[in-house]
Amino acid sequence: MLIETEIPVLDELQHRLDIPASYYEKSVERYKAIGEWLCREASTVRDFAPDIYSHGSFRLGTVIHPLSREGAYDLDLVCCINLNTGEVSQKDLKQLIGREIELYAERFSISAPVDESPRCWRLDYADELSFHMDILPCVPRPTDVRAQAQEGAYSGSVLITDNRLSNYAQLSPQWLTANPLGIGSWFESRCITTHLFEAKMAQKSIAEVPAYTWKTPLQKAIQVLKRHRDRTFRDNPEFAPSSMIITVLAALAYKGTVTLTDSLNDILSDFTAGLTSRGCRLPNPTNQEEDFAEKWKLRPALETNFFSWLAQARSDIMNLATVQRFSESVSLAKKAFDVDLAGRQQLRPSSELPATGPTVIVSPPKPWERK
Amino acid sequence: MGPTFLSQLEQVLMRWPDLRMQPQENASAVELCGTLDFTAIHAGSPEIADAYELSIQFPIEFPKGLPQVREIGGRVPKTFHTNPDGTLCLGTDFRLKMIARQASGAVAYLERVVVSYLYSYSHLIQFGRLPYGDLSHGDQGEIEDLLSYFEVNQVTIAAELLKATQGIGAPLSLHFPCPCGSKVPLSSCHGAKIGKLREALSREELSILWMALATKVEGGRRLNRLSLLNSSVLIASREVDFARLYYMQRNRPGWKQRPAK
Repeated sequence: MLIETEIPVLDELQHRLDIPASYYEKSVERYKAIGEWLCREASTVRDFAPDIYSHGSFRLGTVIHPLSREGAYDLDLVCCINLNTGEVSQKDLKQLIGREIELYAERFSISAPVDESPRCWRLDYADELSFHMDILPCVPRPTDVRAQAQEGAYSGSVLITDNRLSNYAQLSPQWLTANPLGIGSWFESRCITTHLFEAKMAQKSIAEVPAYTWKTPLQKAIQVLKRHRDRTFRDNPEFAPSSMIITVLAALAYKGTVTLTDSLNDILSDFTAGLTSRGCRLPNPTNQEEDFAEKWKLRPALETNFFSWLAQARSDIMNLATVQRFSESVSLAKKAFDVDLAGRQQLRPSSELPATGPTVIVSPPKPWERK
Repeated sequence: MGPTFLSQLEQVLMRWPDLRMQPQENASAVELCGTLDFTAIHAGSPEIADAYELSIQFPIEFPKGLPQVREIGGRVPKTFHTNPDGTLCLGTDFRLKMIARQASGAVAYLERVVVSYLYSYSHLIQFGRLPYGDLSHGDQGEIEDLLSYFEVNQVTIAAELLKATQGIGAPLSLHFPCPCGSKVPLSSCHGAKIGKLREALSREELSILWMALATKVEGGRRLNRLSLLNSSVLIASREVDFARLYYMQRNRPGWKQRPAK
């Protein structure tokens, strides 16, 4: 057992990290606007039924405030074009979407340049909220036996481009696969605990509610861990474990407990259980051939930093749980999470904290269906 | 890397919450930076509470690898038991290895080794003397430490006792009289100390240590500067030494060839 007592201080901490629901709504507005742009009359991709949707933390409901006030929110988007690998090369697809995004940036006077990364286009969009939008061009993956075997219960694989591949500019069926929708569904299934499932059964009508509105203990625990990671690697972000690694390991270790404290306890006790000792270190739950920790092989220091960070997170969260004096919890929260808890008692007395767990989730949903 | 490293590191961070891991491009160790505070007392010396700013390279192979510690607050001068690379000279290599492998974990090791070093220094500053002495620098200090470990006062005896840890040449039976000259069987004399050394150090490490001492016994015929800190030099000189040691062994009174099986 890692933590023995209930600690409202952790709930308070998580509350400070969480973003308002309006930010999620804003993110939906943002990518819908791009979707509309791609479907406008003059669009070069209009005929190929472009489909745009979010993946990553905005999809999963695990977004946290950036460390600095000027920081932007990462909004990961999938842009799926209904073409196949016999019709278009990776490079052509990437350029096709890249041009449209540049036109969009021009039309809406976005001054920041559209940047290219190996697999994505990055568009910085800032009005009252700053977003780094990473747009992932892809085509649907043809359904064959191998695809079905890999996906298991999580369909929705896509083929993505990567400009580091030798066949990038050629017509070739050899594309990398990804399953952002599958990961989303898998994660949602991990969020729904037995307890919550019962609540869902009790409710006759199930509203279609996106995962970001759920705020289950698993999502909250991931937010806490992500902020600890951000703080620990603030000056050396290149050594930080990715959000995907944290999310998948936490979801695997989560045992369905209903309070944030218990969930963090379970997750941290069993965090490394999802790592395998050979082959893929951290297989994608929806595609066993994909390794989320593939960078560890090329750069072993990443693995050492991951384990060291985990030890630090465990000790900080345990210390936060056992600290007796309020002033100590304030200084620890500042040091380990860069969160200012001073004045929390005036703002939100611990006895009036909202209950965590099942009561928070008023409309337990079935996994969100994309339009 | 796995659960052992993780739990050792976690215990250290729990014990000293002001030490924090620093991300770094090093796959074999984690750097811990920050304040290490302690309240310590030694028999016959007063209790001291103090805190130092340290940077600790904690190896993922602990206890096989040993933490390297630097004082970064500018309190401990380079002239006070500091290695040429700036790390604190916490003790002789064999002593540290023994403590690491016998200690119940990294916290116990750091308390026995790092806290006692810092206690010594604080004591020196406050009272003008060291509470439990120190060792000479280099090989001489190592020999002093071995003599003190075996509680003997002759280098030749320490060398004989050390040889009994190795199994090179004639195996020394526990029923034989102890090489220290006590006329008591080894088992009820220095046997336990020899056993502990064998548990803590590898055969290779023991033979290196023995050679350092054997070279001293030989007097002026030192082939090379033998330092336990530089194993590459040691291994190079070891090849040279083996022939000589074999020769010494053969000429030892009472040495008998082991019968061929």
